[in-house]
Amino acid sequence: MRLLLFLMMVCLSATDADAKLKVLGKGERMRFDSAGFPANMKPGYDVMNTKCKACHSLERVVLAITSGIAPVTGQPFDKMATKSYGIKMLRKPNSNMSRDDIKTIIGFMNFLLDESVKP
Amino acid sequence: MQKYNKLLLFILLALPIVFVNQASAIPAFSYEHNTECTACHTIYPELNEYGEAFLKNGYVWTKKLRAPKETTPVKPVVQKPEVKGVGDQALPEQLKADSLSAEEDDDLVYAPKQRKNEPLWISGLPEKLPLSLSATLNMAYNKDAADKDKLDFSTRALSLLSGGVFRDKVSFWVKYNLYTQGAFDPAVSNTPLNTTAGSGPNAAPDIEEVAFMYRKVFETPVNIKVGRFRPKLSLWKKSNKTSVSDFATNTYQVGSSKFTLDAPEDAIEANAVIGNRLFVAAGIVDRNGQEQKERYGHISYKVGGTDLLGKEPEVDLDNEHFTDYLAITLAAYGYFGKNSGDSSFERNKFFRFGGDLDVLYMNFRCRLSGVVGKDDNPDFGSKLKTDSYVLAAQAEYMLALNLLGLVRYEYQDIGYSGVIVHRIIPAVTYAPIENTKITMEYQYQRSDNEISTVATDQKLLLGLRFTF
Ligand code: HEC
Repeated sequence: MRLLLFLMMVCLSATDADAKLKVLGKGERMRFDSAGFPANMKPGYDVMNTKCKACHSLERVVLAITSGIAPVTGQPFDKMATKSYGIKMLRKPNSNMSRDDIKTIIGFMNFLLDESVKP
Repeated sequence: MQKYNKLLLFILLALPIVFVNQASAIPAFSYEHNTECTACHTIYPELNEYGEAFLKNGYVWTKKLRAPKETTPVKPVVQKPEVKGVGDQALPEQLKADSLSAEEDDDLVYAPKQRKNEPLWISGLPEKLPLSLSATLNMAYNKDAADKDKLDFSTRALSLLSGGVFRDKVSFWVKYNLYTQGAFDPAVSNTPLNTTAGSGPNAAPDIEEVAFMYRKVFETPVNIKVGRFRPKLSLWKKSNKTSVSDFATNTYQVGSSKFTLDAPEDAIEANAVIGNRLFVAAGIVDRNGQEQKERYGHISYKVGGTDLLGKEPEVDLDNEHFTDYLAITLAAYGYFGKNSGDSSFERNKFFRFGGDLDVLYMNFRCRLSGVVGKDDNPDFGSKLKTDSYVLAAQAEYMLALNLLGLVRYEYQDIGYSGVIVHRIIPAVTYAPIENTKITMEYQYQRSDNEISTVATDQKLLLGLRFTF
């Protein structure tokens, strides 16, 4: 079974070499492939990889961005939602995020949203 | 070689099937509540702002589904994003498909229905049996215990809990006590109230709450709730706490009357979130053997913070302002009742008026609760009119995601006894895992009559609770 999945992944990654937004891993190991990201998105990527993993894996972020639907609440995950989710994070006790972190991460999520709809 | 190629082709053709089957087995969007405890709780069962909103809306997330037209989202939900690359590709597609199969109405305000498994959806059945168990173990250390039993391990309880919503229309809540042990003393234990109880080694199992709520009657904001439940009075149900003991305002009794603000009753209630920040509830209670119904009402308003539909406040990310973190909720309520003792036809007419204030600022929260009451015959005989004044003030601080410290002061003046009770209760709650928590609580109680202190009492409580 694992072999099949592996083959499938190899197969997909080969055919989609030109894809803008790549998702790696499965389940709680799901993450974005940062290989093609522009340099100015690096801080956003770093904040996401440190602060957003404090309470949960990045799986739900990947699902929200790639499907346009927030997986827990079923709300649309668009640019308004990234701002509102950022505010939620800012206000959450012990989320340990500064205003600058939040702005960076909103910018980064908006970038990912744009990437996810690129052909 | 050719054989090998055919095999490869077969595998490649079969792969999507394997993959799709796998993806649909991942319950990413199947369960409405597929999230961690801390989405709705600080440390369970205390609710956070989202938990409050979720509860008030009958267990449905009710943020606006669509952005207002003038601010068209950059990526409209109906547009199908092309996601490429490796990983679980089918899952996002599945989510999208599920969401799109819901209504496409532009004016739709509430969350889409999730129609994953059509036969179940048609039947209104939840995809997963919504049952859970909650176990409570309390230990009390009282060095002055009258019966010399200084260390008492005896408060145990096991309850069956169930709750959910059928097709976003009918929500329900059930609490059934499978086992309770230990005398019920609201000041010292959180053993669930067991109405047929007594204090036996296994008080009879009993339904504590069974309620149905018909949501959004005729597409209005009004919900109608019927069953056996706790009438909406205080902002907080007594279980909405992290300490072992309950707020005195919720649980105090006068004379022989069993009435408490938080007692489950057979009732019908209409409630509604109005304009996102106002919550109102009113209902009538039916008591056995009594012709006249009892009445109650509640009104509360929230300023700042997440609104009552779970929507974030507007925050200017470029300029810091302290109100960004501040949320204040004010409530007022009243209850007019009449009850009788177990075996007498004597009636006690009573009322309670109360007010609550909930202030949240970052990790800090303060809760104030005050109740005044009057009973005209609380021992069902002597017709001794009794006033009651009870206050509780609690400050709590979330030290970490799983650690909360609090201190509460309580004042209880129940004219009947002529004794005024003061309590100071510091407590620390720690949840090593979100569903398991341990609380250490100290209670200092002083009772004064008009002349002097008549008694002091100190207790150390250890509460262990888990749920799954
Ligand atoms: C303090 C703990 C915590 C941190 C830190 C955190 N999250 Fe979350 N996240 C949660 C919880 C709890 C939920 C469950 C639902 C909720 O509260 O929104 C959640 C849910 C989500 C969801 C699904 C929302 C939905 O409505 O379905 C997304 C997307 C998400 N988080 C993204 C992020 C991102 C991006 C970051 C970093 C900026 C982050 N999270 C950091 C606790 C956290």
